[in-house]
Amino acid sequence: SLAGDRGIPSSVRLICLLAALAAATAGCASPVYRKHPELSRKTRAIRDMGLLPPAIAMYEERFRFKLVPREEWSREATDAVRKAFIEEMTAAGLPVAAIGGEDRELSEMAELFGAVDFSIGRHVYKDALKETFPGKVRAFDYSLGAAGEAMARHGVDAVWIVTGANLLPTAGTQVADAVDVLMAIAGGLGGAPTFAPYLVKLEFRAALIDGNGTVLFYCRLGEADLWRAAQDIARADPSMAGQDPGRDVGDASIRDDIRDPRIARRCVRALISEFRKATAP
Amino acid sequence: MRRVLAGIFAVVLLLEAAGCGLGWKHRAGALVVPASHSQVSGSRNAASDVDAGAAAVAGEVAPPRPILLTLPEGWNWVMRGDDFVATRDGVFLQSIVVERIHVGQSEQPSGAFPLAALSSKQWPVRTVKNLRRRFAPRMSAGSAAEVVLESRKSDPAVAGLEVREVGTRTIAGIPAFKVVFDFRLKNSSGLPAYRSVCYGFMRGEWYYGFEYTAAARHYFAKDAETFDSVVRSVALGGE
Repeated sequence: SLAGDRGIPSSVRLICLLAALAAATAGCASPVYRKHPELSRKTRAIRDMGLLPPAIAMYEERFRFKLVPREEWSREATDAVRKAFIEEMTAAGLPVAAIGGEDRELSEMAELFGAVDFSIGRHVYKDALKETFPGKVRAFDYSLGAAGEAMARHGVDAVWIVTGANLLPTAGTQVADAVDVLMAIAGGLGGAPTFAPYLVKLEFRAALIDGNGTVLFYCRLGEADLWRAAQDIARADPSMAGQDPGRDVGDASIRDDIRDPRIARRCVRALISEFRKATAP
Repeated sequence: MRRVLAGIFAVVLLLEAAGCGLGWKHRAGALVVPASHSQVSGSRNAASDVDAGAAAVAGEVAPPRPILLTLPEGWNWVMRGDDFVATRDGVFLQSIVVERIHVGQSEQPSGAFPLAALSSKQWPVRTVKNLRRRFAPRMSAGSAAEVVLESRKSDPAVAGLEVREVGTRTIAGIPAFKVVFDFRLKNSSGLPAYRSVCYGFMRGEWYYGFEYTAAARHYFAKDAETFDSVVRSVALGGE
């Protein structure tokens, strides 16, 4: 009980509890991307890139964190992301060709990425689950197996794999509760809490794979990362300000629905920004 | 609201505890999978064939033999309940599992702290809860192989199991079976096909199993030799 019967006011106890919780969950903010040690050298050899069919899973979030998968929404999200990815990458001078899902070898590679994606999230990123492997943090080294011939069939020498998840709350879940308040407190200290992943509304992940199957670059963007990236982009290029509606222009009616082309573009622009940081000399 | 806050604080403390020594270990080299086991009461410490005989006479479960093995650098390991689980890149990419199962065992606990090394528990394949036949003392290696394969085929997490190879091998001087099989995880769109190589033998009332499972694409071949070296390093402790 948090009652003040030991002489300590309950309000002070509550503040101490919140501070301890925030400190435990926030941790140190870590980079949103991970890169192979030879990323810069290997990307110089890449001339043509492809995009495998994105896999974006969308869920309806009902009251008390019940998640209902929505296949139709997921298809719409996949289409929106594919379109945004190709357009934004081309505009950024990184043209990408869409590759269909018929190639068996590339499909196997995408399947293996599901397991690699999970493993990177658990063992390379630091979060409250504390499953980091020091060896994998020191040397980022994951592979999807050689696929040079399959890539050559499609006229590319590297491919992007894009995945993610988007939770859309129903009206009933938009009622703020104590848990959401705590998430906001912890997030405000610089770390995106992930020990309750079902409360992360939008996560966008992408990886660049070369013909040897090496994961050259991996990026994981949550809502806070996307918002920060939009701010960074607007500061670096004021002409981009206002093109990306969101919290920065105070439009609270826009929610993080990746089926919205503006949100999909925001995700891809943030990815490009992180990729440029990773490949900067 | 106070109850919710207290509950969340408890979860955070559990997570902190998970990170403080209860989760993955990263020390390689010579390791011991201890004789202690959930099937054995804490009062029994010795582990030997002589002790097993005395225990049987008394109607008690004698502890299994401790297992000594050598894990190479770069591997991470944890005791998932009574099972030793090791991986280099993550259990959904590759894992080495060492399990000891008593002939009368009906549960395979995952450990007292559910959030510690969580991914080791999220890997869904388990032997004991899907047994269709029990191991038996003095059971031949071939029969023990059939028990394990039937468990895998019955596992609701496993789909499309295909046996590739059946043979024998000697481990720690003991004749063991060897089985190689492929499978997929059920309800796992976006996960690869897997390949397992499993060795096992009976010793007294205990089954000793050594299994390497990895994504068939790239990862199985990557560490098959590593698993072989770990198995060659295996020795049973006790008398």
